[in-house]
Amino acid sequence: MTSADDRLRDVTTIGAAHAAAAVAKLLDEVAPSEPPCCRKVDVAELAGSVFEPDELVAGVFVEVTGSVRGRMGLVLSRDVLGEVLERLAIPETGEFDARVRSVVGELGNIAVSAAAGALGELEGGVAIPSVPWVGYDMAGALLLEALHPSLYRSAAYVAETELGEGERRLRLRFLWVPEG
Amino acid sequence: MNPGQIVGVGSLLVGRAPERLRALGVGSCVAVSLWDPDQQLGGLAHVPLPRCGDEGGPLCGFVDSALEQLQSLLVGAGAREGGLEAKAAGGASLLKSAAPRQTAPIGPRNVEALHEILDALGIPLVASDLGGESARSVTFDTASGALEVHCLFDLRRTL
Repeated sequence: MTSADDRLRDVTTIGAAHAAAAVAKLLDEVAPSEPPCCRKVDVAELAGSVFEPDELVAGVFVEVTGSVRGRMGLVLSRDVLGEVLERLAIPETGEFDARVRSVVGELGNIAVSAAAGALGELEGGVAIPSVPWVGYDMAGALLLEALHPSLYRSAAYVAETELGEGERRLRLRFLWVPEG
Repeated sequence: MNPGQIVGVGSLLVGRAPERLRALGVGSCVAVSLWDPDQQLGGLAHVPLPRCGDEGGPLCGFVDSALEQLQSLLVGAGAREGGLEAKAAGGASLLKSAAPRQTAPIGPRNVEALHEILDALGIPLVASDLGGESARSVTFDTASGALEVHCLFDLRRTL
């Protein structure tokens, strides 16, 4: 492992912690007490190592420009999405309709904005996230479409963290793919 | 029944009857089967990007080089070069945004490349399930040449 890898793991961990804290505040939930667990994965192998390729997930992805550049995402399993909707008092219909898409997009926007802000500060500048892209489908398919410009160029750093306590903890998976 | 060997992103596999080959979570990628009916010999490629450029990456990662490689492997294994037929699924666009797209989405670009490369290789596309807004998983049966296409909760269709 190189010092550049160490640095990117640290940056991802800090970004994920800020994202998790922002989501916790939105949901009036207990913020994680442990730092996120971060690992480096080839983009082509994200589906199959971190996720099952045909696992149903909701994902929010942005492109980050400014003092740091890359792609960032927040991924929620179907169960976690259901919990989030329940806590926000959004009736779950089982459909990923415009209302649910909007909720997921806003949640993701809050999370990645917090993370991008932290990453920008770490680099002594400003990181600007794009308007988010949102999807709800098989993990392998969503990740490849969102991250295809980085395929074979960059590695993904994946940080996992959990909000809350007890059986109703919410697992968040945060992705940072620095521009290669 | 053996569910089949998994063909990962940016890879391809060749098999003979009764082998089955599967590609899971195919969104903007294209999953392409080439099959020789006489030999009951075929292969499946799961390809994420349209064209091999100067950016590196495995040959199986690009529609043009992956299909050339798959055709070559099948002919090397005994398939007739003029006897192959193709079926394909994928090329969807799953992500939505309030912002306008800066570039053409990758799924339709993969589909466009697929048609061009198959034309160039002289391989007919006999059936396809391309485009749309949903991911698919596919299972290719080297005995029958069938390509089963599944969406999230059910069998979508058999090509």
